[in-house]
Amino acid sequence: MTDKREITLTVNGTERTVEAEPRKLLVHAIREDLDLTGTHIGCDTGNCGACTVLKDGEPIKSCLTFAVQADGSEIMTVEGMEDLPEASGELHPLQEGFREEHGLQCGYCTPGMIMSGKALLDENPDPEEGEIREAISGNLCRCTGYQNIVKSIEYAADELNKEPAAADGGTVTAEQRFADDDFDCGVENCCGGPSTETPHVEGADPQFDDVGGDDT
Amino acid sequence: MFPDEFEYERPETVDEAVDLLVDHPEAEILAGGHSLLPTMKSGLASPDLLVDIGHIDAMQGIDHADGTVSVGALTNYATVDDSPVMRENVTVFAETAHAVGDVQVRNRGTVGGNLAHADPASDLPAAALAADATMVLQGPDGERRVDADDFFLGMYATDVAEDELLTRIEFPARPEATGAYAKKPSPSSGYAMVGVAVSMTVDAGRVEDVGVAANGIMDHGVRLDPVEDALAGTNPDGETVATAATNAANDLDEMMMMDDLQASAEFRAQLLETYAERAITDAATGTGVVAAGPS
Repeated sequence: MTDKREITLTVNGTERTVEAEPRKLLVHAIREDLDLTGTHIGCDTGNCGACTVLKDGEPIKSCLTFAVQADGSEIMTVEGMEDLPEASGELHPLQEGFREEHGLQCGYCTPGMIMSGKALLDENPDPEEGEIREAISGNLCRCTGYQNIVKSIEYAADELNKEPAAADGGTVTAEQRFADDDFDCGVENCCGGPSTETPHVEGADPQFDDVGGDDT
Repeated sequence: MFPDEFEYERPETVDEAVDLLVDHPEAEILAGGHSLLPTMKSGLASPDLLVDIGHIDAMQGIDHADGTVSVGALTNYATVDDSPVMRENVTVFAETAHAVGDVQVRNRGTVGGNLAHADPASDLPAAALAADATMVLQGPDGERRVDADDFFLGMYATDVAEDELLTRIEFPARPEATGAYAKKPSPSSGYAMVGVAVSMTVDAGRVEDVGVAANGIMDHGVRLDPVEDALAGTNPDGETVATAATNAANDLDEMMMMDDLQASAEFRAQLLETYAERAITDAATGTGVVAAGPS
């Protein structure tokens, strides 16, 4: 085995070090060494974009990059989305968009789609449909036919463009909506909502149960 | 798909990189890795040593001085595509960079890696020819300059010696020229089954200067001299362009044309005329539109 090298990555805002052989791909370092399995391995040939992460703010395919090549860079994965200020501690508007607009079926491509969407909206907050399609042209989806993915990103753009109005009392984020409420569902790390008079009982209404297992 | 093991060196300067290549002529150079990694992952290549030049800052970026635009070999496609200096002065190269791969690929793949790899189905060789590029190579004995016309020798074969590094690509600045690239991409890979790059200067309704070159048709990028000759001095209207494009394959040996499952040589020769006409038309009208996708 060739000697391992110490690689420093700032992943979702936190500096991490990885000991890796030079041949280790960035996607393997992210998934296996850092245990961030939201980034998927799809085709493994650089075509499908399921492994898309942001490197220094730009979307790249982490299966076509050795981890050593990313040494010293800032990496953002889908796990970092909910920590962004726009997410208000919940789902990021892009993630919310994929839920609201049915932007996924099997969900395999979704982390990559979200990262490509994030890169687009960072650069172009109000994209035309054609620009969205161009931005996700390196991400393959075999379920949706792309229509709802485009709508999901449009949803996020609309939401993000609305948010500055919240300070003026225009649009209210979920966090603000529940801020005055001392609602607590009793679960450790309660998310703050949805508020209800009746205490939530696991299984009573499957809609509110933790479905789990979704990396997106 | 795990690549085989390899030793890894990461030089910080061009001189350090060249020293490594002198000591290890069998080494492969790693830049963006977007051609090398797929071959390593699929087992087609198992180099013992990779020299990662990705951290050599001197090979990054675009400079414009004294009528020459110099593009560092490590500059990625997206930077070229987005560069106002390139759009203004080397339009054909910027248009062609935009046609490569997808967003993620353009963020990582490098123009120097593309040209030095010399994939016959790649996009940039034709643009380098059409723009009259000069490749600047650094070796143990210093710098050497090679015209694009003398650079591409065959399939994955260029004039770069084992102990040399392509450090930058220089272009004559041509703010008056329009440029366009039209390609028929492979439906699966997006690589060019045929791609034609055109750089053209029209003065007082006459073609003053024109470069026309193609990828995908032969085992390396080729200049289409008969098309250039047919256009020179003409008024590039629709009929003239269509007639000029019929000359596209005149100097090309049909027996040596690319012929595979994706497209026969005969079909590629037909595509060549069609895409030559489209690229010249786009350049003549100054639209520079990339005709990508099935058509």
